[in-house]
Amino acid sequence: MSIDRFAQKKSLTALRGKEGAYKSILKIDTENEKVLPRIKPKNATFTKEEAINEALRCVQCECHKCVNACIHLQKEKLDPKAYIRTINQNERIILGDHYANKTINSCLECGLCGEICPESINMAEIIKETRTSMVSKDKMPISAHDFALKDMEFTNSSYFELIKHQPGRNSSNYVFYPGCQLSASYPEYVSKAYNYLTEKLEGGVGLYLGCCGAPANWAGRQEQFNSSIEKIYSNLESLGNPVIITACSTCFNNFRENIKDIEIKSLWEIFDEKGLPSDVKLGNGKILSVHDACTTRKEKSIHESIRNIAKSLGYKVEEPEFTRETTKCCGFGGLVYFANKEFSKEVTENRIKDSENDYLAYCAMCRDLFVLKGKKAYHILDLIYGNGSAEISDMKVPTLSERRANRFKLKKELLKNLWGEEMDIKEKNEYENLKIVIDDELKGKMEDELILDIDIKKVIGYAEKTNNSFFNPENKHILAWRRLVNLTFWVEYEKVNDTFNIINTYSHRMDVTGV
Amino acid sequence: MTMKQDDNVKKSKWLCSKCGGPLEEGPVKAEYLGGNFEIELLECPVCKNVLITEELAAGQMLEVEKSLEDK
Repeated sequence: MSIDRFAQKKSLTALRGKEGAYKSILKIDTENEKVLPRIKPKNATFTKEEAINEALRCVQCECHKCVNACIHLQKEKLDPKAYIRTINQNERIILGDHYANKTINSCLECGLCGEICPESINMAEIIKETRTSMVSKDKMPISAHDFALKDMEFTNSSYFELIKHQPGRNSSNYVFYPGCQLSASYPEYVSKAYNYLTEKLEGGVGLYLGCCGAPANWAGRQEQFNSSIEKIYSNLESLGNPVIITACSTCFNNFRENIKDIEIKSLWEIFDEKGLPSDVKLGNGKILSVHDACTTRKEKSIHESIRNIAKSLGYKVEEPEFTRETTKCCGFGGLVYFANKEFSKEVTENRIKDSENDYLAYCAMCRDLFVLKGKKAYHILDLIYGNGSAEISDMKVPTLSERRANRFKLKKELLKNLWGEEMDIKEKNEYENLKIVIDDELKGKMEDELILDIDIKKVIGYAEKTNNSFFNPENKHILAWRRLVNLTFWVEYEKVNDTFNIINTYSHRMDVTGV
Repeated sequence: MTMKQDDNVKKSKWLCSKCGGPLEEGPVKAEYLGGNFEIELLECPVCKNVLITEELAAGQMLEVEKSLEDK
């Protein structure tokens, strides 16, 4: 050791604890290691070659189980020790670039590393704390989570939020909380599941449409998350603190961790306990590979329910290499889908490779992300309420604008059909009814750049009213802009009668204050 | 930090919708997260409306925004 220190020009005396044999906390799998025989020197001392060969027998004890499992750690070339050091350095920078911000915002917070680690070192908890610290010091890049937080605001506005007892009742033993993403992807399944619950459960099933606060939690916005949980608490209290039934793993996990004194069940457990609807289509032995949601990786009862439902419908269940407690993230977790879209797509592709068979998911975002990357995937509700056709597994995924519209329509229809009420919107969007036409290529670009139809409508509506725009006399195109909160949106369009054909759109955050 | 409008735009055919006049290049003030900049951009000399191209918004401007966010 002294020679090694001397050769590396390190101090011969500093920090010289734990030398010789001692009990290490490091746990290593040596099963696959080849143990080579000891090299003994032929003469009294080692020759150079003998010394090298003897030194090469060292297996360089290191545990990289988490790195081998996690695509984020692999991509960043960091193990937890180096990651924590990087975070520490990033936090201390006063002058200069916070170079690790993008890395920190690319962790999926899925907890796979912690599950696999023999010492339970969970980067998700460290990243959550780091993001909270960045927000508190005003060092969190705005662009990372801005869209998701605005979406959360929309979901908690009167466009979607709804808290009701079952029609004709004034108390609730249960409340159905479908979650904002299931409502955006599968509004019709939400209605069907709610009807099912009111038929199967006694004592009234209320309905609560809203956001569980996950975006704020992932973004490190602790204050916003706490006030969101407080609001949910008080709304649940107004319903008489019923048992919450969630159809979203992220909501389930958020409530389980933060709403301590109220019982929470998943819709999948209810289906498993109370039986499936009578008119379900059967799977006829089709093999489906179960993709467990990372937010409920510890919920064994949910894992079992999903498999029981699939089996009772006549499907064969395959377990991919990473399954149940050690499932992988689909690419949405930790808001990476918004903060680092390019990497999020790699995560989805990585998970797709884990099975040749079609996936069975029970989180709307997991299913949607797989399908967007060309993987055939079913949501568990596709098996229960779908029409039984194979096309359902590559059914088109709604755009970000359509997701908002679906939530809004779901609330409107439920209010009308179940409670006979008309929807009352307090914060109505201006120019909402403007007719715009966007081709699929541009729609794809808008998805990547997080531009909504309503942003485009607001730009055009304002430009048409004020004439603040530019005009190209050659092709008659108009180029208009408008600052909306903290972004300037630009839209190139042509007007045909009362319709606006959208040619292009882009945005920037920098505020051009003028000449 | 300086940013500049790309050359393609100088030849662009955009006119101001308000006054119908051509655009001219001139210094324009911009701000992000407390950083102030002066950029040479196309603007209407009469109505003072400023044109930002996609090339600038998705190129240099985005780079500056990202680097300010990481300060």
